[in-house]
Amino acid sequence: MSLLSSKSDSVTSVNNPEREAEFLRLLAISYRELYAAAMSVVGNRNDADDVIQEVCVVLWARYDEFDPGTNFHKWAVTVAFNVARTYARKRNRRRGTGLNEEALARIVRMRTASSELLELRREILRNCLTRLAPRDRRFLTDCYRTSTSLVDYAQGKGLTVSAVYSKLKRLRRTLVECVQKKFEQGEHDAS
Amino acid sequence: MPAEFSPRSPHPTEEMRSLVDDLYHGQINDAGLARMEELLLTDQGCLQIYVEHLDFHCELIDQADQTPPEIAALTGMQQYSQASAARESRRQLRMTLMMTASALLLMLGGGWIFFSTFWISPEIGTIISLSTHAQSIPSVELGQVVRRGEKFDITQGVVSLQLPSVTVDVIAPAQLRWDNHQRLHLLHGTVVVKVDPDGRGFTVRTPDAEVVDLGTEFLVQHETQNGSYVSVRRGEARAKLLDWRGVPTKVIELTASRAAQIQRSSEVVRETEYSTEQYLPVDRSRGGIRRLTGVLRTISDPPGNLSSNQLTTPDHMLVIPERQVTLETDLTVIGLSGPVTLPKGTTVSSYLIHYDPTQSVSSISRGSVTFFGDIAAIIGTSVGLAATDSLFGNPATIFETQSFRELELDEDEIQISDDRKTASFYFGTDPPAYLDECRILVIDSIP
Repeated sequence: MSLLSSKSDSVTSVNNPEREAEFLRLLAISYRELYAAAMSVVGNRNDADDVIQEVCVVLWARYDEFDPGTNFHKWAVTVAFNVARTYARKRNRRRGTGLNEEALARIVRMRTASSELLELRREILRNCLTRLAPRDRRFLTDCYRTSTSLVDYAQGKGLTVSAVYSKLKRLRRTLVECVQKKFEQGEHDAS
Repeated sequence: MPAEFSPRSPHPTEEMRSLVDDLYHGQINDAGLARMEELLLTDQGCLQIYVEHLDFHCELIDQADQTPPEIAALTGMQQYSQASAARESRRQLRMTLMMTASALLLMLGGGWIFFSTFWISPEIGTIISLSTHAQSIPSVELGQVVRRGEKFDITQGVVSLQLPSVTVDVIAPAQLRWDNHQRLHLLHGTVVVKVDPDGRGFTVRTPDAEVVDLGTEFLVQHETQNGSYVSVRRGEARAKLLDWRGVPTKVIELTASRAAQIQRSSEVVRETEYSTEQYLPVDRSRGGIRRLTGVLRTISDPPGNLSSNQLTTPDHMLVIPERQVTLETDLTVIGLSGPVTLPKGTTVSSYLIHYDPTQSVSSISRGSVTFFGDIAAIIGTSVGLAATDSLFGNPATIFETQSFRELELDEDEIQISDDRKTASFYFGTDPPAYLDECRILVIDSIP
């Protein structure tokens, strides 16, 4: 099955392995940022997973429109926001609830303007994570792993769901305070 | 995070973090969403916290899920393509339904014979064996014809299908689709495939692997988390890792008593420990049985107690695979037509027919069982059964000791086919004891 056989048979890149490899290389570089962009609009893991799949396919379908001399990352993030906002609109109509258009537009603008700041905070967060006890890091990894629902995790460990949420909340607070403190003190060492 | 576990802080930024946690976990309610929207629209600091805190969650996801981005992207694209294909399939189904409705109108005009013929998919096989509690969506029954493109969700037991030169045993839980008489698509679960020389090339496809028979008996198991496991009991098979486009990228050839694990997410194709454990549900249920008809059923696990009224069979007869024995000395048993001597060194597989309806039943207790091997003898007397219980019976099974377990040949009927492969039964019900049993000894033959 070709990459986009179900989407667009007219895409000329489909049978061009070199162009396909170049697309995948660029996509891999931007993938985490695209996922975060989708998450900022839809707000939860399941919807973000759906959106990122569609984003990748749309990017490939329109890849012939992309000018190699321009910024792939910027182009891809713009597409990701558009796909995510369309997804959010449809979801809100279906569920009868959700953030309105103005709020979504403000989120997109804020995220776009904060990209460098967010990358800095991520680096600090990775540093803060190393300071957690190994047991707490394992707990966070288990809770954030793709296939794990917190209810399943709690049942598997013989814990109550509220105990898992409480511990998760405590660890998040520790990490948020760590990031905030280091960010404000300017102590972060990117290495 | 549910609202009851995250009491709101009086400070708006803390309140926003708590709301974002609720949103991330899909636990936010209408009131929470309205408050979030209000803060986003009126408080620039809260807007900043919203973006930062969801990004914080994304980083924790990245740390937990170490899938390389290019793999994640490819997997995502394939899932989307598959979902698109499923949507297309549903669209086609709607189209088909509309066309069918049109066809119905035409049928009113006299064209129904042509269209009813035109729309039936080609037949590819039949259901030949069901364990007692076998369940499927849609439901299946012995002798049912399976057609190309049909999809089954086997929720319980073992279901067996005969295709030309190929026998497929499906172990629940499993979901599969019959692509054609040479290929099945295993979405998840376990299948055991036995292939005659004429069926060479039969293929089992899973989401991440393709297993091609090279004249063999093999097992394929697929689980979403662990990928595909392939095991070859006899002969040879070729297993291929498929990439996200379904194109083979790595190949491993397996001979008898070898197994491999195949996982696309990690691009792993590695030989792993071979075990016959996965084959047990089929061996216990079917052994050397080729086909069942009528009210006969196999059993998933060896029964513990076969005394009268212990394992009742109100609407079916059981055929229970027992032990396979290679005789150390000549053995003489009393068959239906007299003594039968089985020479030393013969490998004999035993099957017990058990029928205990507990009361007179209205349904007709008829059925037949066909074996791969030849039937050497059928033991139907209580003395003959008792004499062979210890040699051929499952060691943990308790047998009825009263003589009423034997067949009443004036009422019960048994026939052996000319090729000695098939035994046909009719068991009557005669109060006060309804139990009827007989033991079939089959000369072992590998299908």
